[in-house]
Amino acid sequence: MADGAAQARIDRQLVARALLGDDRHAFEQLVRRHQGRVRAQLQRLLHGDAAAADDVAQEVFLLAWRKLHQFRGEAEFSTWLYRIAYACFLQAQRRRRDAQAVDDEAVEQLSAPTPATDLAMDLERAWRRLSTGEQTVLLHCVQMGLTHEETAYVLAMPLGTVKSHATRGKAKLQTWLEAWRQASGTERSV
Amino acid sequence: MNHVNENDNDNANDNADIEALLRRQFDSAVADEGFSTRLMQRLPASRRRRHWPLWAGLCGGALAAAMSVGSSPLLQHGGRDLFERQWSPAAITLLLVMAGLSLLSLCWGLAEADDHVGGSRRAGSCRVH
Repeated sequence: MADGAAQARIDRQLVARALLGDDRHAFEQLVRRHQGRVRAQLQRLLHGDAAAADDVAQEVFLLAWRKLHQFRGEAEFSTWLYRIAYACFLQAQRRRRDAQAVDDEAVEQLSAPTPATDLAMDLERAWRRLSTGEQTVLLHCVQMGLTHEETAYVLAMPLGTVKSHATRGKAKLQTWLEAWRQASGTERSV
Repeated sequence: MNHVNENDNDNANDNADIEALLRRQFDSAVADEGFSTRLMQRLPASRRRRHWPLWAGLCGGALAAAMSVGSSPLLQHGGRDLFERQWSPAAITLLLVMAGLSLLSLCWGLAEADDHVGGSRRAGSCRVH
C-alpha cells in the first residue's frame, strides 16, 4: 500500500514537471512506467491482438500528452490512463465495426492467447462464455487489481453494476470450472 | 449457524481460487521493446491552454452589459429600493433577474461538471477529463 502511494506520488511529480516545464523527458518517464500495463490491458481487451493494442496504446499516450492539463489527481495517474485506454478501445472498436463487417470466427481465433495447460484452456473457454461486461469488469477488478471504485471510474460504469458483474462473472466461472476442479481433485486423491 | 459460516468460508475460498487463476492467466505487463522510443518520436509539441480569450470575453460581456443597462431607471430604482428594503415592482424585477442569472450560472456549472465527469462515456469520442 505504501509502495502504491509512493508510486502515485512519483507519478504526480512527473505530471507536474511535464506540465510546468513542458518537460518531455518527464512525460517519457511516465510512458515508460505505465506502457506495460496499458498495453496489457488493451491486448486483453482486444483478445490478444498485440499490433492493434499497440496502435491504440500509441493513441492513448498521445491523447494523455494533449490532455495532461486535465489530470486533476482525483484518481491515480495509472487509473486515469486506463480510463483513456478504455475510451480509446471503445472508439477503435466502433471504427473497426464501421470499416468492416467483423467475422465472428476470426474474432474467436484472435481471442485465444495460447493457453499453456488444460486448466488455462478451460479457463479461457469459460472466460469467452462470459458477457462482455463481466469480462471487462473481471479484467480490471481481478486481473489488473483495481478496486471496484477504480473500475467504475475507468469503465464509466455505476459502482453497483461493477459489483454485480464481478460477483456474477466469478460465480459463472466457478460453476463452469467445477467439473474440472472435481476431476483434478479425484486425480489427486487417487 | 456453523453451516452458514462454513458456506461463507467455502465461497470465499472459491472466490480466492478463481481470482488466483484469473491473475495467473493475465500478463500483467508487456515488455517495452522500443514502444516508448517510437512513441516519443511521434509526440507533438504540447499546446499550452490559453486562458486570456475566456477572460477577455467575460470582461467584454460584463462591460457591454453595464453600458447597456447601467443607465436604465429600472436598475437605479430597483437598486435603491432593494437597499432601502422596499419591495417595489422595480426591486422585485431586479431580484427576479438576479435569481434567473444565478439559476443560469448554476445550470451552466452543473453541465460543465457533468461534462468533466462523464466526458469519456459519450459515444463516438475518445475524450477524457
